[in-house]
Order: sequence, then C-alpha cells, then structure tokens
Amino acid sequence: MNSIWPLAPGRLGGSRISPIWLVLVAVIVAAALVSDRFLTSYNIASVLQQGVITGIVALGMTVVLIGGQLDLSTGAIVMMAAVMALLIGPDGTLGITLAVVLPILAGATVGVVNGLAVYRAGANSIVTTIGMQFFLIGAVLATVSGRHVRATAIGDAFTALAQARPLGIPFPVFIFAALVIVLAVVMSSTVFGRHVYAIGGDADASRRSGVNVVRTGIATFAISGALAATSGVIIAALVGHLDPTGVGGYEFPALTAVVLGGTRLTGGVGRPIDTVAAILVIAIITNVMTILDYQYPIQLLVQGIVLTGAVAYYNWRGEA
Amino acid sequence: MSAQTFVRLTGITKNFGGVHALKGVDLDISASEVVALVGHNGAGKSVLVQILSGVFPPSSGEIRVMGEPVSFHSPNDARHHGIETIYQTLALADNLDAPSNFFLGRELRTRFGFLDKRRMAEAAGKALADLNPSFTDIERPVRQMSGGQRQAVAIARAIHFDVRVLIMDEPTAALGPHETAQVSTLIRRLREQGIGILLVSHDVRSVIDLADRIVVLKAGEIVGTMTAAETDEDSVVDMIIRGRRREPADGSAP
Amino acid sequence: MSPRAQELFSRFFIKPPLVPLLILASFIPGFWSMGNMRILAEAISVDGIVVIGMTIVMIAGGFDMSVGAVMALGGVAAVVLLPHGLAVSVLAAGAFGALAGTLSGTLVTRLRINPFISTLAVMVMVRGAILAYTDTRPVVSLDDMFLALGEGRPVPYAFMIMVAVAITAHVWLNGRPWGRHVYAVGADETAAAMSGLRVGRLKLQCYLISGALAGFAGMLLAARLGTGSPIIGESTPLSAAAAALIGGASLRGGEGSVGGAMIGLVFVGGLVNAMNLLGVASYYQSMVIGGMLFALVVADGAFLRLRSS
Repeated sequence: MNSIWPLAPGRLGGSRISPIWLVLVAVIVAAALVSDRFLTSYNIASVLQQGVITGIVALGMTVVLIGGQLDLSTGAIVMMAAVMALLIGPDGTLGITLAVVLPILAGATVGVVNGLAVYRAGANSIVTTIGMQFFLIGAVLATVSGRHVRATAIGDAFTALAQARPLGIPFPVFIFAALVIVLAVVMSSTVFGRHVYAIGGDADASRRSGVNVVRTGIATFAISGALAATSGVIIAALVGHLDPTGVGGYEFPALTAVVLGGTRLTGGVGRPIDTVAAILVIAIITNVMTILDYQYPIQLLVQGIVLTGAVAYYNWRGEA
Repeated sequence: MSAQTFVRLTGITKNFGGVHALKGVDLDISASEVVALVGHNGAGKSVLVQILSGVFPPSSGEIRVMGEPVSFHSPNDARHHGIETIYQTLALADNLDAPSNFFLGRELRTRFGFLDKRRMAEAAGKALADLNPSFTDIERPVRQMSGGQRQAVAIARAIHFDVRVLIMDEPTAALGPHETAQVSTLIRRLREQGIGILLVSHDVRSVIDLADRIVVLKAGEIVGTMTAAETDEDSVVDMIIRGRRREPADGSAP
Repeated sequence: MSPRAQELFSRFFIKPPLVPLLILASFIPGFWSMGNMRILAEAISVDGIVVIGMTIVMIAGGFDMSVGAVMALGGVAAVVLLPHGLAVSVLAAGAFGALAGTLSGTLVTRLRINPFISTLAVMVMVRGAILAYTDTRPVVSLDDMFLALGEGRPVPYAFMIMVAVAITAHVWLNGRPWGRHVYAVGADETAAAMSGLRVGRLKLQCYLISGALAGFAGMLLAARLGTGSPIIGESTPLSAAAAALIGGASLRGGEGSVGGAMIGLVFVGGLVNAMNLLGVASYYQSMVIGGMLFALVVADGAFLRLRSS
C-alpha cells in the first residue's frame, strides 16, 4: 500500500513480484548445476564485478525508459568518462576528486544535450542517442589520437574505488547497492519519480496536469549520463590504463537488462530494483558461458535472443 | 467591473502559422454562472479552452482573473488562479493510480520532501467517495477503471483544489444517459457553491437546460450571446450554422 | 523562380548543400580526378544500395538498424559459398540478407516489437552469429570472377548496379500500387488497414527488401575488397539513415523518395571522401556523421512540433 520501504513491490510496477526474480533463482540453480566452478567465492565476486559495471549503466537507462525514451549513448559515455578520468591523472586528493567529479559532470552534460534534443525538440530518442554515441566515440578517439591511454599517475585511493574488497566484496558492489537504494527511493517516493512515471505513461496528460515534462525528461537523461560516467570512472580505477576502442558496447547488455527487468518499452512502467535482478541474470549467463568456453560472439547472439524474447514476452503479457 | 466577475477575456487572438484560430474573443465568467460555449468543430472552442487553462498563451489579448491581469505559462499557472479544466480526453496518466493522478503536478510531500502517499490516498479517497460512494479500490492504475470511474477521477481532482472557474470540455460526450444525468446534477451543485463554469459542448439540448448564458463561436469569433432562459434549441442551432440570429417568421427585422 | 525550380534549388543547394560542398571540394587537389571519382563511386555504390532499402523501410514507418550487420553477413556468405559457383554465392548473399530482413519484419509485425528494438536485436544476433561462424576473422577469396565483380572500368559495376536498383525502386515506389501502399502504411497505419491494405505483409516485404539489398551490397563490398569481414558496417546504419533523412525521409514514416536519398547519399559520401582526401582521421569522420545524424533527427522532430502546434 503506502510502503515507505522503497524495495517493496509498489503499485507502479504492478503489485506482484516481477517474474524476473524467479528467473534469477532458476538461473542461479542452473548455473550451479552446470558448473561446479560457479559457486566459488572468487567467481561470485567476478560475476558481481562484471554485473555492477553494466548494472550502473542499466539503472540510468531504466529511469530514461520509465520516462518513455531510450538512451543508447551510454556505452560511449562510459568510454568517455574512463578516458577522462585517466587523462586527468587521478593522484592526490585534488586529482582524484577531479577524476571522479569531472567525468560524471561531463556525462550529465551529455545527458542534458540528449534530453534537450528529445524533450525540447521532439527528436526520436533512439536515433538521437546513437548519433551522440558515434559523435562521442569519435571525439574521444580524436582527443587521444586513437592511442592507448595511460594515466600519468594513479593514487591508491583511486584504484581502491574499484579494487578494494571490504568483507571480501568488491567495492563497486557497494557503490552499486547505494545507487540502487537511492534510485529506488527517488522513483517510488519523490515528486520527481512520480513525474517520470507520469510522462512515460502519458506525456500530454502530464503536461496538462501541470507536470514540467521537458525539465523532468531532461533530468532522466542527465541521470543516465551521470550513472554511465560513474561506470566509466570505476573501469578507469579497475584497469588503470586502457585501449579506448576496447571500452564500449555496454549499452546493449544494459538495454537487455532494462527490458528483461520488465520496464515497458513504451514507458511508464518498471522499477530499478527489477533491473538489478535482470542484470544479475545476464551477468550469470555470461559468466557461465565464459566458464563453458562460449566466447563473445555466442554471448552476443544469446543477448540478442534474450532481448527479443523478453520484449515478446512482455508484449504478449501486456496484450493478454 | 463587478467583483463577481472571476475571469474576463478581452480581445483574445490565436494564430498558428497563417491560420487565425481566434480573432478577438471577449468572454466573462462570473460566480455561480454556467456559461456554455457552443460551435462547430474547428470554430475555436478547444483553442480557447487551452488558452484559458494555460496549455499555450494567446497571440494577443488580455486575461484578467479577479480583475488582475495575468499571463499563464503553464497549466499550473492557471490552476494557481483557481482555473481548473476537465478535458474531454480526461488527461489522466493511465499507468498511475487514482491518488497519483488526483495530485499529479501538485503532490503532497512529507516534512522530508518525499511523497506523502498516505495523505494523498486518504484525500483522494475521500474526494472520490463524495462524488461516488461506491468507488473503491482507488489504488490501481486508472487504465483498469471504467469510463465513469475515470471521469470521476478527473472531476474530483478538478473541483478539489479551491476552484473558481471550472472548464468542462465535452463532459458528457463519452458517457451513458445515467452518467450524463449525474454530471448535470454535479454542474448544478457546483453552481450553487458559487463556482463559475465554462461548459464546452455541441450538445445544444443539454446546454440549454444547464447554462445561464450561451456563447456561440464560429470561425474564431463570437457571433452571439444568448440568455438560456430566453432562447430555444432551434435559435441556438441556427446561430451555430449561420452565425446570426434567426429572422422572425414574419420577416420584420429587429 | 517557379515552385518547381525553387524545390530543385533547395534540393541541391540547401537541403543538403550538395552543390556548395562540391564547389568547396574543388579546392581539394585531386577531388575531381578520375581516380578519386572512381573511389567515390565505389564507396557510394555499396552504401547506396543499403540506403535504398533503408529508405523503403523508413517510408513504411520503420527503421532498420541491422543493415550494417546484414552487409557483413552478405559478404561472409558470398565468400564462403564461392566454391559452389558465382551464381550461388551472389544469390546466397541476397537470400541470407532477405532471411535476416524477414526475421526483423516478423518481430515488427507478428510480435509487434518496436522496429528500432527489433532490428537492433537482429543486428546483435546476426553480428554474433557471423563472428562465431568466422571465429572473428575475415574470410578471403581469390576467385577471379568474384573479384572481377568488384571491378568495372571506367565505371565500377557496383555503381551501375546501384543505379539500376535505384531506378527499379523508384519505379516501384512511384509507378505501382505497391509503392502507394507503402507510403499509405507509413503515413497512417490504421487508416491503411481500414482501407483494406495488408499492413503486416507490406511492412514485412519492406524489411525483406532492405535485408536482401544489404546482403547484396555486402557481397559487392566483399568482391571489391576480396574479403568478407565479419566486423564491417558498424556505422552503416548511421550513414544510411543520415542519407535517407537528408533526402526527405522522416522517422515518422510516409515520406521520402529514392531520388532524395540518392542526393543525400552523394552528399554524405562526398563529405566523407573530401575528409579522406584531406587526411582527416576516421574518428573525426565518426564525429561528423554522428553529429550530423543528431542534428538531422532534431530537425526531423522540430519539424513535427512546428506542424502539430
């Protein structure tokens, strides 16, 4: 009913528990049966590590999609933020602060530009953000002349962002958990969150009811940009140096997770917490496929099938 | 100017590109008055409604509320001045429940700035029960509700918040006879409470029963204003079609 | 100026500024040389065949994100099947493309999945499948007949084929009931269905055509390069969409023409060619194409707002 507990199933996502949680349980059981290496603590940590980087991207895309739009520029924002963090040279208090804050601000700024194009000018969000994706990739590669990026100096406090393991759990998992809780509360219990659901449900009715559709919508893209950039910063802290052309493609698994988590493609329905379950499902499937030596191409194929199946399932259930 | 005049529109025009949708409309709405706005599709009724409810601004002209000139930049501005609108489409977000729609755009918050869902559910529940005692289970998406229930949500949220002027855009177009009668009763009740009502309709018969004044709009201009008690259906229809009063049968022009 | 002349002027000077671009390009040494014209013709002929398919899908109110992956599929299929004869190889490229297009069309029409998402999913599946099949390595062909297909002097065969495809598509879209129906479906699907058109079948046909053309274009590219690469065509959906949008197509459907798309194609191709001649690094080209697409879609949306308000 009027739960203040943000993780409790709310009315907006349907009062039932999303079937994705049953899928998650089934996938965990199946993974444990298929491979005895799955349930080792090292492997679980690695699943979580992989999951949260895509997961943070997916959280932002969930907010955008609840508002009724898609953000496919997120993969390029991850890359941009990672390169920015390394170029800033995350050493010393100031360096580390800048290396965290500036990329996230840049990501939010890209989001605002996307949001302006979509909500102010009425542009199609998918093609707009794909245009932005290629623009950003080009801009980043031009900046570094297509070369490998290595930070001049990296402070331990920066690498700890990704590599510290309090209680044996990778630190990014804590970042992810904190973001999940914050977003779940924002979406379920604040005016902003309510307005995001409203514009995703019926933008015109929301406008007539006095909701500032443009401002709310731009904010969803800003959140998505900032979160994708957060993932980029974590990647920078994780690897310390990188080949920018090798950082990319996060938008597709993230999109798959958002849709698999039950966020409706036309907007207005969905919950960040369900995206988390879907992220774990995808991370586990990917992990098991890697253990079983099915490489990236097959994983790509499977993701495409999962996305199609998820959309088809929710379409069918929506019509039934 | 009488203090009773809630809203006064003067010389309102609206151009879309080269199209003159409104060509200088003057209109008053006073306390305890039901003004019916009638006219063909495309006469400019819905443009006028949207200007008065703040969806878009007029190209020129003045809006005064309680004698003070105002300009509306959004529907919320109009609502701040006590002008509420019930759209023909109802303007409900289908995926949200009744309390969410009820408070959409003016949500109640707790001390900490979060949504006060409990207070909103109680207030919305009470308002809806006033309107329709059999209306239960309001906390489900309005998509799952009947046409009458959805209408109740739209009406309840319009009259809940200190409304001075209520705009009803084709309120009975989608309703059955029973619900139409209920809406008529509601309009009379609101009028007794001192609310000014702008009733937009092309159902001339029901309008004559309900309205005090009938304003006929044709091609963006007001072509006539009649006192409902002193006219009949044929005269109104005639004015809608021809844009002028019917000549008396003996041919002696007034 | 007569309205007709005004329209022509706009088409070549403003939307897009094709003639100004070509005049500016004249200052680049070697732009108008035979050699460079040949390079330009080769580059735009492969993309052009894809653009025609994309335009048809966009007129029908859809979008095809999978064209780049399907191009790669066509190239790989053609090279792999060459040992069975050139005819088999050429047909197979188109057939595999048509199969992928049918899959997209089925997702759009039967499962009612948003066209962007459907074709995005097909793009990923096709890409995954050919990467897996080729083990991420390009497949090479040294077959003389096949390589000759990528030649043609002075005019490349691929260019002649593109022109033939463009004329055929133009005639079908403008001179046959089928074309009217495609425009009708794109402009207002419900109205088209109520007028008795078989909306689902028409849309499926559009995706099938787009897929077949993309597969065929991939085969021509493989013939020119002598290899079928599983990774080519990543930015093809972008440049194809840009060309179609420049040429007057709209993401809302019901608008666009093959002729317009060809002007858009020459504009985008000329721009890329000029950048290549100037030695602009490929990532700047990615910026330009991405930024252009962004601006085009914003203009597309802004136009809609202007008309609806």
